Amino acid sequence: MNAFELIGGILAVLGALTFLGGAIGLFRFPDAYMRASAVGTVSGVGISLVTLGAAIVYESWSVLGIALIAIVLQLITSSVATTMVGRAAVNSRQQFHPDTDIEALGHLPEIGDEDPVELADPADPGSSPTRP
Amino acid sequence: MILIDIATVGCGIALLIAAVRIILGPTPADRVVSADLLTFSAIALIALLGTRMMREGTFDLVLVATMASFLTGISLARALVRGRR
Repeated sequence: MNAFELIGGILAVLGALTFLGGAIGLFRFPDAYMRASAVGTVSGVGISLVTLGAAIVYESWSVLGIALIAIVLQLITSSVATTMVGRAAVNSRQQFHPDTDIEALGHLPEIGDEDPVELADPADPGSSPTRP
Repeated sequence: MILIDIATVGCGIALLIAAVRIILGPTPADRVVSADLLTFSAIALIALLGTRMMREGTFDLVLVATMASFLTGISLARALVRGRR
């Protein structure tokens, strides 16, 4: 086992431990929002470590270049995806854990707040309901 | 390459745990979060498998799968809200 395999292997094992930590967090955290934060950490740090470790073991410059492009793109997009999942959870009226301090969030959408759904009129074919 | 094998087993276990949470998850938000983790575990397994098989084209797959998983996460988040906002 030469130096490249050792360094790449250690990075890949660290990334796999991050994945396992995120997966255990899916079961240990009592709330969907806390689980989303755990998965957000995995999507940023875990994937980057695993890809970097695998590319270093490969010992090729072209593979390392492509892996670095993938890592940069992943780091850019991971927080955006996690924030969008959290925002969608709030807008879908997902309940917070009772111990959460949600005063700073202000007015959260409630279950009775949705716009009424307009169905098509069966007596008037060819017309469509207005979209929200 | 024993360390790569250990990392592969770890990512596989994470994938199975995410799949169990998709089945169990009491709320739809839990299922969306676990599906996100599942896609990232799959990408990590593709990268580690490419190193194990010593095929150079696999890392192009990792690059494309990274972008596809980002769009998957956003689409799942939009499906959670049913396209309302």
